[in-house]
Amino acid sequence: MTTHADGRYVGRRRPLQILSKAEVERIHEAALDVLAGTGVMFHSDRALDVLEAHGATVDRETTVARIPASAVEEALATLPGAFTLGGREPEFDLPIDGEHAYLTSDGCATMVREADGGVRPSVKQDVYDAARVVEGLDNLSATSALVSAQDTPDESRVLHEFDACMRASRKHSIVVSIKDAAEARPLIRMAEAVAGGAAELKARPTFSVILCTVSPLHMERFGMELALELGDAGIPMMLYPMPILGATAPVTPAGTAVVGAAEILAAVTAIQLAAPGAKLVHAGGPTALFMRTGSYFANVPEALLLRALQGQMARYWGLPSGLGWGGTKAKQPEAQSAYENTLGLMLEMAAGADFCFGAGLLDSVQQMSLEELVIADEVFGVVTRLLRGVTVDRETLAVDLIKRLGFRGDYLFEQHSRAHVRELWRARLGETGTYESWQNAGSPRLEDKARAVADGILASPAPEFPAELAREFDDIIAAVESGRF
Amino acid sequence: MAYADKCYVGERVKFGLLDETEVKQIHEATLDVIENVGVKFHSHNALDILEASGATVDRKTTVAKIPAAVVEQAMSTVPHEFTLGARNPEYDLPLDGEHVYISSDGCGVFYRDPVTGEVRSSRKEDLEHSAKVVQALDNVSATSAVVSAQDCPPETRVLHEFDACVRNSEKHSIVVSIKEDWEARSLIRMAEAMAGGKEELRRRPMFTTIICTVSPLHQERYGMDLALTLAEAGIPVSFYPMPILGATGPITIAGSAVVTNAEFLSGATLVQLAHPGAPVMHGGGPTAMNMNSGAYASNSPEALLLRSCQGHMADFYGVPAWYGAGATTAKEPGIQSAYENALAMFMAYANGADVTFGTGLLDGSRILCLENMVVDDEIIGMVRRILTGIEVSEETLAVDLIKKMGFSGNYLFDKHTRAHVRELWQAKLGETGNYEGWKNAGARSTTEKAQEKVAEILAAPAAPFPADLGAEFDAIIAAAAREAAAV
Repeated sequence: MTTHADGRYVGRRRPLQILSKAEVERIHEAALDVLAGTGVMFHSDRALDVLEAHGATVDRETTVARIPASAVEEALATLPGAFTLGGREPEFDLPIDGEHAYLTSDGCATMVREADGGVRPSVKQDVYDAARVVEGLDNLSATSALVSAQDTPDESRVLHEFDACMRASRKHSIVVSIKDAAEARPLIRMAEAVAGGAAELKARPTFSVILCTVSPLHMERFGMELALELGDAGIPMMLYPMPILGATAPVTPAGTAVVGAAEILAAVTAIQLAAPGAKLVHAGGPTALFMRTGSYFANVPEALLLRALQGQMARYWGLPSGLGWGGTKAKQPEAQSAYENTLGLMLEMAAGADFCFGAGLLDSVQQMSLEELVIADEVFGVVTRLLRGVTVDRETLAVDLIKRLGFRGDYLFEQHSRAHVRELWRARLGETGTYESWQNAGSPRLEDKARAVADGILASPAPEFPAELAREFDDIIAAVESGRF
Repeated sequence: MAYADKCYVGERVKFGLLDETEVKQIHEATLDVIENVGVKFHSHNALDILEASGATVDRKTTVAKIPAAVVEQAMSTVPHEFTLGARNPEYDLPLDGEHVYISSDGCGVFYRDPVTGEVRSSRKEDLEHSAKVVQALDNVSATSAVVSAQDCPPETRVLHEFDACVRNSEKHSIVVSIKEDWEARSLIRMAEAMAGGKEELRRRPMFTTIICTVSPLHQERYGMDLALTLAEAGIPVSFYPMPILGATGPITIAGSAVVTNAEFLSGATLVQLAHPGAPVMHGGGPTAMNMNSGAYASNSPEALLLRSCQGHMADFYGVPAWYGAGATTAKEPGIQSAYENALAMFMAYANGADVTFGTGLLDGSRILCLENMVVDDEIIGMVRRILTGIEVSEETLAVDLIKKMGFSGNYLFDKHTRAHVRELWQAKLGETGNYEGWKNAGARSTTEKAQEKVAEILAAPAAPFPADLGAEFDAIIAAAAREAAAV
C-alpha cells in the first residue's frame, strides 16, 4: 500500500549547517552553564521533586531549579528513537525518522479572512473547513485548530476543535491550546476511541500537543501534570520556546539561541526524568522585536536563522524537530507572504526539520486564510523536491547516452527520458504555460486560483466519519460540558 | 564604506548538495565526454588554437576532442578572484566568494505597464528606466539589457543598450545579446572611454559578457570568436549553458550537469589556452521542460538543483559562479514570482553563486516588470542576511547577560540590546506594523508599494553622466552605424 508518508519521503538530507559543530557545542555548553548557574523557574512541585531527586538544587520559595549537566545527560539518554504520529486512518501515519518531511497547519488565530477580504472572528465551522482543506492537500500532513472555535464553551473548546479536525480529516492532528491535565483526559479518551484503545493510541498517537515555555527561563504555563498525563498516554509533546530577540532574550541571535536551548533542555530533562521514553519534539518559534512599532516578527532573517538552528541543535541532542514556521506579517495572500514563508520553509527544512508547523495564517498568526494553505501546499512541493537533492550514479550521469547522442538535442525521444520523466516536479497552482493561454483563461491571479482549489475541496464530499465514533465524541463533550466527566 | 561592503556575506551558510566524490564523478564524466566525444566549435580560430594545444580536430565536422591533460593544464591558469569594475569605482564588485550580487536579467522582448498591466514590445527607454531602478536599489548590483532595444537599428542595438545602461546607472553592466566581433570592438572602445584606457579597463572591466553555449556540446562561431576578443581585452566571460532537461540534455540532473560542465569547461579551456589568466565564470541557466505544455521553466526545482550542481563545480575549479535566478514563469508580479524567485536566489547562493542573473523579468524571461525588481531587492536583502549566518562569540552568546537577567524579560532596556539593535535586518518594503495601520494606509499590496517606489525612482533625475563621455559614446555608435552600412 502506498501511504501518505511515502509521498513525503526525502531520504537522508545533507543538512544545511547554520553553525559549525564547534559552535553548536558552544551553544550547548552555554545553555548548560545557564541551567546550572541560573536555573529555570518551574512552578510545579512534581517537576521540582523529580529534578531535585536527580541532583538539581531546588529553591521551593522561588521555584527555581538549578539543573546540573549530569541530569541533562541522563535525560537525553532516555529519549526514544524514531516514533510515529498516528493518523485517524493508518494510511496517514507519519513516521518521524529524519527521512520524511512534513508540513502542518498553524494554530491559535482568532480571525478569519474571507474570500472577499473581509475579516471576522473565528468559529468552530472554520476549524472544520480548514481541516477539510488540509485533508484535500497532498503536501499537508496534519490538521490543527488553525483558529479558535470561539462559539464553543471555554471548558470544552479544545475538545470541539479536536472534534472538528477529526471529522474533517483522516490525518494526524496537533493540539495547541490545551492548558491543563483536566482537558487532557477527555481528549485522550476521544483519541483512544479513534485509535481503538489505550495501547493502540500509544503506538499510533492520533494527536500531539504543543507545550510553550515562557522566555526567559520559565516553565510557567508548562503544566508538569499535563506533561505527565500526556507522557503516560504516549502522546508526543512539541516543546515550544518563543524567545523574542531584544525583549525576552538577548538581541544577538547567538544569545537567543542559548535561552531557547536552556528552555528546551530544562523541559526535556524534567519530562524525561519523570517519564523516561516520553516522545518529545524540539519545536519553537523565536521572533525578533521590531523596535519602531513594538510588534514582533517571525520572518526576519535573524528569526528564520534561529528557527533553522533549532533543527541543527535538535539533531545534536537526538531530538526530532517540528519547527514553528509561517508567521508572515503580510495582511493578505500576496508577494510578501510568499517570499517570507518560502524562505523560512526552505531554510528550516534544509536545516533538517522533520516537520514545520504553520501553514494558513496571515498578519503574524492572527488571521486564517484558506488560500495560504493551498499556496503552502504548492511551495512545499517544490521544497520537498529540492530536499531530495541530486542522485549521482551511473544511471543519472548517463555518460553513455551523452556520448551516443553527441551533438544532437534529441533527448526527448530517448528511453532514458521516458524512464525518468515522471520524476520531474509538476506545478499544480503556478503558471507553467504561455502568456496567451493565461490571458485566454482570464488572467487569473494565483490567490484566486488558490481560493478556487480550497472551495473545490470544500464542495467535495467530506471523508466518511464513523457514526459510532461521532456518538462517542458527542458523549464525551456533553459529559465535560455538564461537569460529569 | 564601499558599496560592495553591503553585499558582503563572508563565509556563508552553505548547502552540502554534492559531496566531494560526487563532484569528482561529474568532473571525470565531463573529461570523458570532452576527450572522447568532443565539442563542436563553429570557429576556425578556436579549432586552430585547440589543435595547436594537442586536441584532435576534425575540420569537416568541426569537432575538437580535447584530452583531459590539455583541459587540466588550461584550467590551471584561471584566476580565482577578480573585480567587476563600475563607472563609479564606489560600485566595483569584488568576486572573491565572500560577496554575493544580483544583476538585472537579460533578453526580454516585452514591457509590462505597471498601471494598466498592458504588455508591448520593448524599447531603449525601457532600459533607461530599468538602469535607473537598478541604480536606486541597494541590493541590485549591476545593470544589463534586461529587454531588447527593439526601436534601435539591429546593427548598433547592443551599443545602444549599453549606452542606456551606463548613462542611467553608475554600476557595472552585463552584456548579453552581443553576436559580432565588430560589436565587441565598439563596446570595448566605449568601455575604455569609461575606464580611462586599455590597462584601466583590464583592471576594472566595465562590463561582463554572457556567452551562451548551445546544448548539447556546441560552441557557436559568434560565441568563441567573441570570447577570444573579449578575453584579450580583459573582459570577463561567463559561459552560459542552457540545456533543457530531457530535450537538449539528459532528463536526469546529474547527466545534464555533465553536459553543462562540458560546455563550460571546453569554452574556458579555449580562452585559457589563448589568453592565460583571462577572467572566466561558470554560468548557466538550465531549464526543465513542462512535458504537457512544452514550455520550459527555469525555476522548476530540477533546474534549480542543476544550477546548484554548477555552483559546486565552479567551486571545484576555483572560478566565480554565475547563475540565472529570477526568471519566474509567473505572468504578473505577485505570489508566484515571489516564491519562485526567493527559492531560486536562496538555492543559487547557498550553493555557491557569486552573482545571479537576474531580476526584472516575468513569463520565463520575456516581460520586463520594473516593480518586480523592487520586490526582488527586498528578497535578496533577506537572503543575504540569512547567508551571513549567526555569529558566535562571547559578546553575542551573552551568557553573563542571560544570567544577570535571570527570569525577567527586560532585555529591551539593556545596554547590550542598544549596542546591537542596529545589526537587525530591517524590512524596506514588507509590512511590519499591525492590521489597522495597514488598512488605514490604504491596504496596499507589496506589488502596489513596489510600483510606487518605481514611480518615485523614475521621477528623480538620473546619476550625472559626464558630457564628454556622452559625446564619445555618440561618436562610437555613429561610427559603428557607418561601418555597418558600408559592409
